[in-house]
Amino acid sequence: MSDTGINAEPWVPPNLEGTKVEKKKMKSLMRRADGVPLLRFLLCVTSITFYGWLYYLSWGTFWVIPTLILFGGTMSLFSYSASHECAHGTAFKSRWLNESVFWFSSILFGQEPIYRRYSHACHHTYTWFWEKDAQMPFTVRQKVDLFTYFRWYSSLEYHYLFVKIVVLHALGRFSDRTRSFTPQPELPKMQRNSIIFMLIWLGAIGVSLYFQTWALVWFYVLPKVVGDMINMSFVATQHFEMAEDDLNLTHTTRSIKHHWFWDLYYWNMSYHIEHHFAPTVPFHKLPELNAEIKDKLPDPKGVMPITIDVYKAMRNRHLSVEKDALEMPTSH
Amino acid sequence: MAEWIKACQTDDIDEEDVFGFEHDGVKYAIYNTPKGFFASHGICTHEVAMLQDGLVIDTVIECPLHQGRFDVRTGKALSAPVCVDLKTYPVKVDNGDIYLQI
Repeated sequence: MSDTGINAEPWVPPNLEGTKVEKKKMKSLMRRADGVPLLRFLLCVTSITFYGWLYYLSWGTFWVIPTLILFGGTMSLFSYSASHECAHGTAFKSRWLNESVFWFSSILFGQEPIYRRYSHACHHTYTWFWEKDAQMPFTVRQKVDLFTYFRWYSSLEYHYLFVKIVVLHALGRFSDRTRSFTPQPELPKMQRNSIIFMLIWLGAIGVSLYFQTWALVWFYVLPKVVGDMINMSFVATQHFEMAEDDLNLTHTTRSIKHHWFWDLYYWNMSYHIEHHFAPTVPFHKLPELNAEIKDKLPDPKGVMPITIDVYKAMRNRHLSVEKDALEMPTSH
Repeated sequence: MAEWIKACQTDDIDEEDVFGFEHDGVKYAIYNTPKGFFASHGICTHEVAMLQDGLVIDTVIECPLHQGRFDVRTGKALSAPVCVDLKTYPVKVDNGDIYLQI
């Protein structure tokens, strides 16, 4: 928490140098709605349920693989994105609707909501500033072995971290890092929520054991493990292997090429620079914001080319001997 | 002793909007809401962010950085990530001019 008192020196969060949107236009972009996001939410839930049904029908055939990828990928992308948008409080105009969907999507995603909200707030304040950004897993200034990247790209690392954090917080053990970005009065609520999360997980395991069913594994655990790899491919495009400790968002953050199908579940986070530029703008208005500022932004690439770029950068760094040879990228 | 300082004119602030004002190096935010004009300290109590760039929804100001919300009439923190109330200031309108008591 920083000093916000009368004489506070303003920390200028990362931004797009010299980029302004006319005030009236920005106000109209910031306005919230219930109808459009509710339609998006229902479309996601019903289509993902349909993919789950296809996956079930395809058991015992070759089609189980593509349907598992489709079901798991869309479920992971949706739960991550809806939880993220609701953490901002921008998903819905009605606060109760926002918080209800926040809980639903966070349970599906597997991260306790209050921790998610505060760690993400910290990420927006200090986007890709090493040792300040709470959602920055490693730095390009240190040699990181390929196994570390594999752990992140496979999502195994964040599954492990989410569970570990919930268990520690349920026990009332908060790291200095967590305390640094969470106001003291929120810690008991974080502990209460973590206990609820543990009860949900243990309850689901208990019910599965009691009824001797593998449904939880086939319809949640396995699709989530597979789907989170797809989700991570998208999440990694946002900041991995970009410049660090830099206030210019075009140096630290990437937008990606818009794709109608994936953006349906990714809730328009392909407009990621735009989102960091104005986090108060709800996801469904990001295309309009993009139209206002796109001439100030780099041309976006697709997920695959970026994943290859990131892989090359990490491989080169892994192979490099001289630490001084490591250069921080400042372009896409 | 508290004094009244002229901040701006009523025409300077659109309906359901906020205006930033600085006096003696201190930032203030003045709100035009459906329930009248209100004023508060200009910086969010959560992190350093200028409320003049936020969104006014009825009598609520939403911080532009992390979307924490305050009731501008009382300064009460309404939703996470804010949980410390905002300092508010009395406002009066005289002949189209807005004054703050600071």
